[in-house]
Amino acid sequence: MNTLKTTLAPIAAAVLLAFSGLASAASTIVITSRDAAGVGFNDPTPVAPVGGNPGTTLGQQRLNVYRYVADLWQAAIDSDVPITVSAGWEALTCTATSAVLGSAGAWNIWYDFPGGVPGTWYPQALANKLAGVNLSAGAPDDGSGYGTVDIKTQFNVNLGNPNCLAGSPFYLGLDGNAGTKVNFVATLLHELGHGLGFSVLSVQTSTGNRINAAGTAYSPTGLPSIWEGFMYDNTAGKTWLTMTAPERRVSAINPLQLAWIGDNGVAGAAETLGATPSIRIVSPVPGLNGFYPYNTASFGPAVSNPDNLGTLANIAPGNPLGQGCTAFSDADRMAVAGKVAIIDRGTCGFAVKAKNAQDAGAFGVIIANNAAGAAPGLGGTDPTITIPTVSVSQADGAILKQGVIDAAQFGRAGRPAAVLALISENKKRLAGADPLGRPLLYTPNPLVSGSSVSHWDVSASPNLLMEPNISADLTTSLVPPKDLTKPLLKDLGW
Amino acid sequence: MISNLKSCARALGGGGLALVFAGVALAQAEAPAAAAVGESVANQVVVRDAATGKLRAASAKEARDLSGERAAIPAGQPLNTAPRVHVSGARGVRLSDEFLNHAVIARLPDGSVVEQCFHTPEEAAIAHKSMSIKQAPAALPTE
Repeated sequence: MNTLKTTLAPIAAAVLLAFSGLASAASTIVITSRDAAGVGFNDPTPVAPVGGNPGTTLGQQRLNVYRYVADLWQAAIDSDVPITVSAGWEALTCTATSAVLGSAGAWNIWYDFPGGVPGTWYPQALANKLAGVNLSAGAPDDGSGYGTVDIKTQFNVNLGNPNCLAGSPFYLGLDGNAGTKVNFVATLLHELGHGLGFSVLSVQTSTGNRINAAGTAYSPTGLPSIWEGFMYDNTAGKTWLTMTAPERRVSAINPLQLAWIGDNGVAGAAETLGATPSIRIVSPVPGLNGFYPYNTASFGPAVSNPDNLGTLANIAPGNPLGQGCTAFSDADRMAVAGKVAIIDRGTCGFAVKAKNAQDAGAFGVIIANNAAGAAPGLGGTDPTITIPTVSVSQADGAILKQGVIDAAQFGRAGRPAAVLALISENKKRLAGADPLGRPLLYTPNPLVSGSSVSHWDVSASPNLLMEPNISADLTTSLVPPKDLTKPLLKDLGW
Repeated sequence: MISNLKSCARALGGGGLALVFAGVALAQAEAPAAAAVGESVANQVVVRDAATGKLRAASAKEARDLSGERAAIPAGQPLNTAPRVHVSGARGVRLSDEFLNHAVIARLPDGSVVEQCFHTPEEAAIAHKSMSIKQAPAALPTE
């Protein structure tokens, strides 16, 4: 067990934790509290030890988790310069059913330091490592008491209280058994990752603008982040480094097309990511056979790999009430009976379409997306649905529907050749990577300005620490074959 | 369809009462393409006009203010930062909370919770308000 050296100080900005005592640590992370007496790290509320956390007060358990997570990072990265983190527990936005858990990130950034790529913004912790000195040493504080730190963090002190996601406080155990609580180890591990450099940092993704050289404003001609040379858009055919601001804005919402091309990230992906779940098509139609990624439904029986989904069939387009949204016509019933109906998304619920297909005698349903992007997950409920339903992208749906039409040319008269769909996986395509095996960054076409490009794409499998969704099945590993966090950071210079 | 609307009320600073309706698309100029495929539906925001006393659709700015969303910082607008210079010639800047990544959590109708991290406070604020967290099994689009 790590030896914790802890000094509880009841004043803001007091140093809580100086070092961990890990002899093998490749770096040192110093955590400094901003909490007042009786608050946050200083909360004296008695608690029982939990999940390997021996603390007996709430404040003590909180700082034990911080130390535990800092130790994980210390062991993972190398630096001769201590890494400084300012930490606080604050009353952040809450409702009874949602809450801002916390925030974290680099608090200082630098360019044109010894050892760095010239004219390129870096987070201070990495800049210090590369320069071999603390670039903020001796700089006057800005009055906050933490103005020169590498990373600033704050987490919600009220989480779990009434009107703040009541009943779901942070789980402060170290064993990952969070149950219905919020696993603070995973959350903090993720957020510190951002602060250490897992972030495009100085680019405003909603505009593509960058922070200017003076550090005073966003500008179309600002300096690039160290991330940008590794961010390759397969549609644009170039990295963010050589894009204009409008091109970066478009790239940030270009689903499944923005790849990380750093050598370590790519090598790590090959070791970490699994095969892509796909529908394998077998038919006599030239060019049709191959793998088509699919997504699954929350209703009906789960599909398993391998399995025979069945023979594909089209239904008539042009239903003004939405394709598949009403009881099937006699012609459509004949077409789909005993087959897998391809139905376009739109107008009514996925489960409605599946149920209508089932009532028409279909053995399965493929929902074709009606907008660009990946195959969507299919929500909805209907316990009476007994046939499997999956989805494909709009582009793949169009190919499959045309394939069914073309198959008519290859059968005997009155009996077109079959287009057979098999549940499979594409071992040549990594889940969460582009066709060249380069891991994908998260570029959803969002409902709001901005995007979450400073994460791995959610199609990655297994789940990764630095996906936007902090999953319950994460481990604390930062390296392949479990995770890709360290490889990306290594590409940056860690 | 009024019967399908869920509503809540909150104070509108300087503008009187505001009624925030969820469930009907509004502000098409800002509505995402995703709405057309049913992944989510934008909030409709109605405010009582201070001059006429009548309800009207909120302007884009009013809707944004009510939702908690903040507009992206325009190019050239001064940032809350502080410049630094190192003797080596390195140039630096102290950032501010606007640059931090934010983690948001929401409880879904089935009782489970979903946690997601956002690159900007703007995204986090909207996610918090709308609970429109993506990719959670119980938050999947249903049509």
